[in-house]
Amino acid sequence: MKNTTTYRLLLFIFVGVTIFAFFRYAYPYHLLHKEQLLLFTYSAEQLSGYLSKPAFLSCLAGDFLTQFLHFRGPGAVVVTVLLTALGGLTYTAARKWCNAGKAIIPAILILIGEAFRLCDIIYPLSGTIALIGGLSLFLFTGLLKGKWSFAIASVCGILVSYWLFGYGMLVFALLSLLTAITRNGNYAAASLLLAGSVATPYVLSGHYLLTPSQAYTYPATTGWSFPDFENERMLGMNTEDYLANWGKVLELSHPDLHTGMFSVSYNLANAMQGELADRLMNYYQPAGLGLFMPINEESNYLSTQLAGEVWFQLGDMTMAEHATLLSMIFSPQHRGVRAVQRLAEINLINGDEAAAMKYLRLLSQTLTYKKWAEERIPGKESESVKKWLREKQGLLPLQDTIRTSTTDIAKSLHLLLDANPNNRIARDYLLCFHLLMKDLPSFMKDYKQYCRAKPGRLYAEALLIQLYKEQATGKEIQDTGMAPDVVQAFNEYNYIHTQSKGNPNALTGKFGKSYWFYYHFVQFQ
Amino acid sequence: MNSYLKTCFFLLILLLGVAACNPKPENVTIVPEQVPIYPDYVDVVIPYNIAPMNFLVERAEGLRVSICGSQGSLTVTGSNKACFPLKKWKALLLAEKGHTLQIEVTARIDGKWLKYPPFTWMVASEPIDSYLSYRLIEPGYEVWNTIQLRERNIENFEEKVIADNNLTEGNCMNCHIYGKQSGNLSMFHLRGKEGGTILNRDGKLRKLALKTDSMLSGAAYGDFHPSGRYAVFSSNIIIPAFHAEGNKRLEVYDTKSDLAIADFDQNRMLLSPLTNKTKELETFPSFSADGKWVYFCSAPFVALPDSIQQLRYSLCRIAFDPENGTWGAQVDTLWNASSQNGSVCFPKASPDGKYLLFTTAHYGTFPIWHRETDLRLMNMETGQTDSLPAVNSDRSDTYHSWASNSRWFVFASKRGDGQYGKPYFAYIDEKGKGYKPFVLPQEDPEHYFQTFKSYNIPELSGTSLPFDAVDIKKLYQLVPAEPFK
Repeated sequence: MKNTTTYRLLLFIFVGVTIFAFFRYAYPYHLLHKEQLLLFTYSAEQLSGYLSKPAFLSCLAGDFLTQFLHFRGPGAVVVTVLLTALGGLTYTAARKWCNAGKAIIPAILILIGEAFRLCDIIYPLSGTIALIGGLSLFLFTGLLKGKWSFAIASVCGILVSYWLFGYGMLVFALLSLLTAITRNGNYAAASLLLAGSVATPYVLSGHYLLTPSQAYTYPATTGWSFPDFENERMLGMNTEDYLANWGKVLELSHPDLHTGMFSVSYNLANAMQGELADRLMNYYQPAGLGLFMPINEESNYLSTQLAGEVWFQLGDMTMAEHATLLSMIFSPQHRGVRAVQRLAEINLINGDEAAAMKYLRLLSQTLTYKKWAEERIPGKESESVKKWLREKQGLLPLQDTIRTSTTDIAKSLHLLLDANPNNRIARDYLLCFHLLMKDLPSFMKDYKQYCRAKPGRLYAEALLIQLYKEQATGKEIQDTGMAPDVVQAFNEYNYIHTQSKGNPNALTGKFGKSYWFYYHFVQFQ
Repeated sequence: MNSYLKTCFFLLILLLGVAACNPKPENVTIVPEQVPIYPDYVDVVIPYNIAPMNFLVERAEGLRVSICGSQGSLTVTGSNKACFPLKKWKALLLAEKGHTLQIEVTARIDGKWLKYPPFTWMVASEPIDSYLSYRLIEPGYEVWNTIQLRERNIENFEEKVIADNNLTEGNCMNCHIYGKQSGNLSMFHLRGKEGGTILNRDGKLRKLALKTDSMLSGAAYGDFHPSGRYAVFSSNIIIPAFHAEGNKRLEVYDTKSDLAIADFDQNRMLLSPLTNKTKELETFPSFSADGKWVYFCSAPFVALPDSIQQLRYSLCRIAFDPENGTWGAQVDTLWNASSQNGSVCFPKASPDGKYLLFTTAHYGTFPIWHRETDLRLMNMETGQTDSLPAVNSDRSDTYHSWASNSRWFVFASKRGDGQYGKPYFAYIDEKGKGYKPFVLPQEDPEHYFQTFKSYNIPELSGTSLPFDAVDIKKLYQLVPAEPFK
């Protein structure tokens, strides 16, 4: 008997350790991202806001605990503790109907299933706490011995549990119903419980301004989920972009991942290291969408967030603010610390201190970002913040104009370069944008206007195509300052191309990463 | 420990707690600077029926606020928030109608008790309409995710949601407006497949498709005729654009816009060639107090977006005959954009017909991000325009709505953080002088710090609306929109 108990305990510990290790080492960015999608301030307004929806207690507790997901170790501990608590309570509840050996099975299954649900970025901790709450309330009412006292408590418990735990009420009602039938034989109470649990969310949906389907599942957002490691990698790149850990971004990039978001993150990291042009052809490039995330009706908050990152680094604060606000608006809770931090920074750079204070004041009411905010309060900035501000303000456009679309990219980049010709990131983005769009005349024009140094390999390759088209003389090619080996390679490329009658396979090995190959063979969809 | 001792111990802890929460001012230092309260309620005129004007003092660790009038006084204490009890507040303001209240603030900041120079609240004899509707939406950018229309009782802190796009498939809903400052006459546009203009007349809700083949788009900006039978609308093709200078953010302009009057009794749209010109842009129409005129903004078309700074709207009017439902034959210009070197938006006539309140900006038709945007008050008898210096701020002060007694108006201002519009109330005395406005009081004065929503299109009403968000959900889902011809 004692051995069996030890095995069960060891099994729980093993599952707990596995979950901790998984979220700590294999899936850390998901947890961090959950934290960044939330703004938990220690204010009466925030606390009273929880009363406007069901699941008051689980949402409050879930959001409070979500703050700790900011820290990798403690974040994984929080998730592990919640999940093992859920498993333990499930086990205790199941023991009312079956022996210990059987009770462990649903406990472990629910624990693992809930861990999978937490792998979804937008699934909140409050979803797990709602289940814990429903189970706890059931076990609490189970202490009542009388058949009718249990029944009355259970029926009242439906309203209480819905108020406190939202859809956790369904767990409470289901277990209470089973108890009423199997243990007490109280079919009248069972009927009441069934009717009450079905009716309560529907009846209260109008009061809480939820659709019926939302009312039955609040605060959960996901029925089922699986770990998605590609998504984890993408979140990692997105997060490291924001933290300006450019080396880490490149480490997380993977050439086989052919989606625009990976390319945008990869290109941004290279641009910040001054190597955008040098490495552009080493990665999957979906034309201009490899440099700028589009903002349209198909965008989601993640892609919009990344769009904002690029504009922020380039120095276009209007576009950065637009993207950041949209990202915040379309995020699950419509407010998140990362967006608020960025909005504060943007307004500081723009010199709009009143607007910046709006965001800094909020951040100073948080546990994790209080110090960050205090270092940026206008007039009290730290030296490093002052230096950073000067650098960022140096990138701002000096002239106003209006752009009718977020895709008016060249106009935006020209403005930045006209204000600050030394904005190397903007220059590389402009030239590379033209190249990825195969717009060589625009490339040529802007290259002549903004480039003074000898061209690197990519620009030389592009120049050669255009000069070739313009039937330029040898001297004109020499005057560009490009290395002679590029010209030799160009001749070789053309020779192979002619010999193979335009067969790309003949060129892939030696020239697959050249701009000539991209220009020749990559097709826009 | 017996129960007596336990009770004493508990009471002692409670008393200590209360004392710790509300420390008494000691060794008070009198300071000359103005009290740093938020919201800025210093030296404002308030209606006697307004909700408690709760405020906070940032960084304060203790607070004592006394309101002294000729008939009575009220003192509250707190940590950093002054929150006045509703009943006592109401009684005080009612007794002080027409008098001036003096407010003394003593705050403990950095461990020192500071007493600031007192400020005043002039309690106007004229009440303000009790209800305010607004749309809560994240600022700017013409996009939305969650939107609510709400109605607030401004005599207290009760608020109800009158429409929620979570219940209407996430579709956009435009701002809600009243007719004759009455909850029994109101409307708003609900967009989406099952959408339409929701019309409330005496509690009867209708869903209308206010779009005909002759119109450019569905009905947009509008205003009720005093009879309630008609409403005038613009139909606009709207283009959003982005400035390069950070603080200017968004510009929105029309590439086309015309006017139309909806006849709610006969389900027809009435058009006029004078307000449907292809080379003119006409927008923001509203009726005069007697319903015999339509005021609107009009600009000659310019090449857009390049010439946006030359896009300037004049204030015009055209007659309307409500008996026959006919437009007049001539357009008058009341405020000429070229000579005034500005652009007009949102003309609104006061219910007594004495004034026309409108917004001016340097250019364009979307003033909410134009910092220079200010309100102007035109005296309809003299034609003189007042720049309302006490009312306006260095940020956008725009969309406005009159109270039924024409002595108060509400408007949306971006003063303060510059990002989020908030409803401000301003008083106009019998001579037409405007006074420093105050923001809608909130139960928690920290509310405006915490919210990420702008208060769009605040509108005043004397009575509450007879519907709520669930009624709108049913109307959206179950009732087809009535066609107009």
